[in-house]
Order: sequence, then C-alpha cells, then structure tokens
Amino acid sequence: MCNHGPCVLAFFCCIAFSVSADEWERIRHGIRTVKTIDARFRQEKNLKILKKPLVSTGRFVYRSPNSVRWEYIEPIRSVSLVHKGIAQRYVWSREEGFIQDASSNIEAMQIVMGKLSDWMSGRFTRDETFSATLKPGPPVTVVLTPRDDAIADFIQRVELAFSADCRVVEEVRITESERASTVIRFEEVKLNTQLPDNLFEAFD
Amino acid sequence: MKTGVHFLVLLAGLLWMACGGIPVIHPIANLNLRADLKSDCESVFPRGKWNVVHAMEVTLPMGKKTSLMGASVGVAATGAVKSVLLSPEGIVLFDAAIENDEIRTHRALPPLEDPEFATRMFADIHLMFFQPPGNATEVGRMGDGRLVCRWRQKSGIVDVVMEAGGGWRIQKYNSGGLLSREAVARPPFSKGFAREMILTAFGLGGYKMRFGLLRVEAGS
Repeated sequence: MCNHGPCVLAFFCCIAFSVSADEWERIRHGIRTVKTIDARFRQEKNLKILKKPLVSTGRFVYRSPNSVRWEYIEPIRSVSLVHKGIAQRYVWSREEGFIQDASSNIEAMQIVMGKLSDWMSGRFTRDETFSATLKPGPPVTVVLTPRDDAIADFIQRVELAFSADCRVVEEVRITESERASTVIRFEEVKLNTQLPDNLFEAFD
Repeated sequence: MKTGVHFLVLLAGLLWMACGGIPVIHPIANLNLRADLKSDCESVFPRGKWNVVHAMEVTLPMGKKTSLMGASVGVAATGAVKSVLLSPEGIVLFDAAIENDEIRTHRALPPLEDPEFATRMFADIHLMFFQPPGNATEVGRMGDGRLVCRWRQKSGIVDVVMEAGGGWRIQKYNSGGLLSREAVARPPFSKGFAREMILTAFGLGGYKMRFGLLRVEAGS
C-alpha cells in the first residue's frame, strides 16, 4: 500500500488539477457572458470586541470592463467609484451632501476597488497583488491571498463564492485578521441591464 | 478662497471659545439640591460594562471631512476601553485597547499609526463616557443659570454642564485655563447614550467629530 502512495498522490493531484482547470474555465466562461451587474448587498462585519456583527447595506454596480460603483446606504452613506482608470470616494455630510473624502484610508480602498473590477472581469491569475487558488465547491470559490506584505497587513484573504452557473459572485468573505472579518452577500442581482455612464462618473 | 475664509472664520470662532476662560460657579447652599445635582452630573456617564457603535462625521483641520464608524467597549469601574475605527466600508483602520493607562494597539493603518493618536483618542473617549476620578469639588450655577459640577484634576478642570431640554455639555480646561475639549450630548438618549454627541477639540490642529448613535448595549 505504502509503495503505491506516490502514485495515489499523483492521481489525486491530476484529478485536482483537471477539476481546477475546468472550474477556472467555467468561471471565465460564465463571467464573459456578464456585461453588467446591478445588485443590492448586505454586509456583516464581525469584530472580536462585539458580540453581534455590524450590518451595512448598499448597492453594487459593475459594467465591463472596469467601471464599478460601490455604494453604502446604511448606516453610513459613501460611494466609491472606479471609471476610466480613476478611483474616487465620497462620503455623506449632513450639511453638504456627498463630498470627496479627505482621509488617507482611501489608499486601502483603492487597492480593493481596483481589484474588484479585475475580479468581476475574471482576471484572477497573473495578478501581481493577489495570488488566486480555486476551491471546487459547491460553491466554486476563488481564494485570493495578498502577495505583498503591506497589503497582508490589512487583508489576509479574500474569498469569492460563485453562483452555481459561475456567472456572478454571490458572496465575498474578507478576512482581515483573527480580530476582524467581513461577509458580503449580494441580493436582487440584475445582469446585463443598461447602465448609464453617470452612475460611475465623479460627483459635481 | 472660499475654503480659506471658512477656515479663518472657524479658527476665529474656536479661538474665541477657547479663550473664554474658566467660568465662575456660584455654589448652591442647599445640601439636598447639591446632592441631587451631583447625582445628575454623575448620571451622564454610563455605568457597568457597555458597548456602543457610532457613525462619526469628522471635520479635520482646514475643514476637510471624512466619515468613520467607531465601536467601543468600556468598563466604567476600571476605565478600560477597547476601540475599533472602521472606514464606512468596514475596513478596520484602527484597533486598540487601554487598561490601567497602558495602550495596546492591534492595528493602526496610516495615517493613524502615530502613538499620539491612540493617546488622544482614548483621552477623548474617557472625557465623553467616563466620570472623572474622585468627587466633584464644586457644584452650583454658572452666571447664565445653568447647573454645573466641576472636577479639578492635575491636568486641568472638567465641567459637566446640564443643558435645558435634558442634554449636557462636558468641558475640559487645560492647566492654563483654556478650553481644550467640549463634548455636547443632545437628547434623545438610548440606555444613557445620546443619539448625537459632538466633540470639539480646540487649539492648533483642532477637530470636530459628530457621533451618531447606531447601537448600544449597556449595564451588563
């Protein structure tokens, strides 16, 4: 039995590789059929110091190849936009409405936002920032791990769980540390609808 | 240009307020009224163990603004606090705790990595949510008739001023007698926490934070 160990291992590796290769292709094929996504989301933030998660809701809008609107409606309003290669972020002020965010935390967001449009377009591999592995599932899940220590300081792992037809991400799990993690679930997902430019454009 | 004018007006206002000096307290002679007022002043600070989540609108020096979420767990008896600051999207920007005056930082993303930030943040949290050590040394009325309790400390003075309508105002004067911090709590309240609090830090590098109460668990 022991003598056959390496062969058995190789056999399972081959199966794993072929399953993995098939699944990657399924995801790429599924994503290619999606030109736009317009969805609501519910986010649960788990913090070690709190017994109950913090719940946020919002809207996620994506248009191929790289336009994203990531909007939080409750409890704090904010809008992050990626369009024509430019990322911008706005926060809600009671006196002034939406204003451009002044804080430097936009740097962390820009990394995530920049990657979101890549991931929604199926560009997982050959990524210089995150390495991607695939869990066959169900659900089929892409696990992204930062290559850069600076990013690993604030995100340990991102897991994207795909729908059964591999066309869209149904759930995102972000593990920041053992003290903080996030689960985002997409709901009311509309695919391939007409999405105007102004959804992604900077606010006046 | 417009921003510059706004800044100068803000600066002038803050300087005027900060230079107002320590108000005179006219003592209340009646012992029962004094005891009631002391009790009212102490009741503005939460008791037991509490955890609270706020939406925060921050106005930075030069009028720049940002939004944050803040979650804190505090223990009234010990002054221990654990706090997490998050971006509106939920990214943890800052995660630290203070116990026995010792700060332990688990995460501090730029620009919050300066240890001085943690010290100031916990000082602000203590000012807003923890009764100053010891008993109020003076209780009485201010010149305008508002009731006030005063705690004298090595680092200065803390006044708790009871406002009409059920709110209150906590004012901290530094050892030089200048108003350095002010926290205003407005009704309504939930489990002793104001639905809205505004903290203003005066002086160079001053800032203003509006705390909107999102969630509170208290008294455990």
